[in-house]
Amino acid sequence: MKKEENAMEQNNKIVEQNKPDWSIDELYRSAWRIVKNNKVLWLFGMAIGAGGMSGNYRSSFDNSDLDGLRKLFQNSPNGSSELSSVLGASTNSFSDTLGSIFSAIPTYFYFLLGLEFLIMVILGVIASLIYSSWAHAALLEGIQTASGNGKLTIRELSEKAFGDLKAVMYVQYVPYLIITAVSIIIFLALAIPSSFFTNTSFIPLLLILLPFSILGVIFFILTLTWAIRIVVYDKKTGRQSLSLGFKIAKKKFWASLLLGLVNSIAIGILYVIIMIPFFGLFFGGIFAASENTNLATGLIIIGVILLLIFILGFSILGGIIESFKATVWSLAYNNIRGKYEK
Amino acid sequence: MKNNPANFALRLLATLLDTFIYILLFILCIYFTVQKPTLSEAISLFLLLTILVLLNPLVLYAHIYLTYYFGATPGKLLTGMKVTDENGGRLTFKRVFFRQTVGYNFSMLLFGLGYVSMVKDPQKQTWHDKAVGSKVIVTQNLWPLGIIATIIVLSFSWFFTSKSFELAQTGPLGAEVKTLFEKYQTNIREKSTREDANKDTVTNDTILKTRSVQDQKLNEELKQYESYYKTEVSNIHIVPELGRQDKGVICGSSYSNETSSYSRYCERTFEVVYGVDLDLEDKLNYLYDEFETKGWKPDWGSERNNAINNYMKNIDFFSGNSTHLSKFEKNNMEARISIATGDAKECDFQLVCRYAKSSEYPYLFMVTYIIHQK
Repeated sequence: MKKEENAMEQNNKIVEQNKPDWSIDELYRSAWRIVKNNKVLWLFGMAIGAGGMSGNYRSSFDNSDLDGLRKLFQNSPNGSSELSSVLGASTNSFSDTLGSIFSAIPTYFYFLLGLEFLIMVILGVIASLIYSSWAHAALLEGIQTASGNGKLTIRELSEKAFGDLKAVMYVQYVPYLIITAVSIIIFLALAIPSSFFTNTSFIPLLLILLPFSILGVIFFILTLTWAIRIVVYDKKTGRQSLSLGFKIAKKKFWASLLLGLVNSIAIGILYVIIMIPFFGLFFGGIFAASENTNLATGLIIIGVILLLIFILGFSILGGIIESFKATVWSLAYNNIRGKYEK
Repeated sequence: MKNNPANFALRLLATLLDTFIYILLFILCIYFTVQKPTLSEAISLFLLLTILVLLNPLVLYAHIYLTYYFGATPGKLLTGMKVTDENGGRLTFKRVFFRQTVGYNFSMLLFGLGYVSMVKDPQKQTWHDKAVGSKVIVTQNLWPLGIIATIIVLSFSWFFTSKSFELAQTGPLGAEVKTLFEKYQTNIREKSTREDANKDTVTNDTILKTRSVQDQKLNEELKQYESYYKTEVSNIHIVPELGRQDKGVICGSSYSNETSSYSRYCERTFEVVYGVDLDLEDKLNYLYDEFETKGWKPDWGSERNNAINNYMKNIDFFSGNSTHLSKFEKNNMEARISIATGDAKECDFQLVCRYAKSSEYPYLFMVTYIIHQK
């Protein structure tokens, strides 16, 4: 009798050990329940999107500005003709006057102005990085509270997020800085010898490197995904979290990859389903224009009105999707918490 | 009222006052700038003021340290408000920085819903207040002073703006700007004249060269196909259905409106109107006008639009259009489309389209319009 019981127990243990850590179906159902019932999470989801884009801070230094700078320093292809027109009979009095006006302005004015712009940009970038990390931390704290059926408030989540902020910022930005530095070094290491060889001799090397790079990027993303949860849920330091995150990414590689792929595909399909009516109306309107002008105008007007409404809805949808994704990963982490630390 | 949370209207008033104060600073910078006698000095001063005032981080981010040290921006002070933590104490610098930068962005989500949400909030907190645990309280009932301050700031802004305009128009600086603008216009004019002259030289040269090459080609082609064209044209003239003498022929190619060797041949015998190209609708209208000038007067009547549509549907082809090609091949490479019949009063307007192989094009589309007087 005892033997049978022992065998049963042993059997149960084996079944338990071989049981997958999560089922995507279950994760999705629980995540949706949490996200649906806690609208505060949507706000932080939206904030992640807004912080990530940080358009307000970067738009003032775009390509067109760089083009302008480049033009200033570039020799114009018509330089010689312009020069001759200045030196020749048609001396340009306008540019002369303008030149004399600007030459009277002290050079250090431009330097100071540039410095002020730089300070503004740096402060903007810092604020934007803090915004994104704070929103991430608050969202993850919110998911944890909500999964324990707790009530969510901006006040409470923000306060908890402040506690995690430094470590979250470390996990979010330090690896990126390191990766960028390493990439630059690798690029330089490849670029310098490439100038001595023909281009074709490098193709096999690149083909060998490509799969490794893809694998590296996947590992990197998965490590960060787990590390940020370790920071928020287990209150570990940034460095400890990255190391543990890497361990989990290694041990749960295929399951994590599958979860990430399913997330991406599901969200992609959702976006397509939502966008189809708008594109349908738009292109239908254009197509109908050749046949019936009144119908086309009507359809396009309806499309534009719906699109305006959709712009507002789209940011809410973005928030919902962001919080849903974060919830799915957090619930998955809850299932493996402490399991793969050794 | 004292130490109560400030309501939405009061906070909006304070925000407007802060904004107007900054605008007034900008207007004052302009006012001092336009007083300078020369443009060079004016620009130097404006840059200096921009560095010292307008773009100075100490001014731009004044709301952060003013809130930290005094608990309020000038707008809030003048309307009797103060930013405190939830216990009425002073906020730490970190929290103030977060509130005034990240917090404001957070409240701007969904078109500023975070600000408006305070209307319904029992604590009258915006999202950025909730995020850092701050609240804005009324320390003194100064809202009338806030309104008066706003009016004063707006009046000053108006006064200095109008003064600046006046100075800019009448002062020496205005005259210098005007002269510079005139120089600029002269410069632009000269530049465009120079460019036009260059363009003309280039274009004329290119046209002459192209023409001579084209001419040679067309002559060679004409020699090659002369006998073919002869038969072609004689066939057109004995189209049995028409039965009457034609009045004119219009030739062209579907590829371009350059003259073809076929039209060159036709020129010898008929009065030729050029210009059949892919832009069919416009061209047909153009032809209609051409006919009228020549006194042919094809009266398309109410069918003009239908005729154009019919024409578009039937002759909208090119060498890659297999449907039309097969249609042509079946019918001995010929299609005859009546454009104006029915209620056309004075003449029939029929066109004969033919495909012929050409050295220049894979298929040369020859269109011959035959005007037939009734």
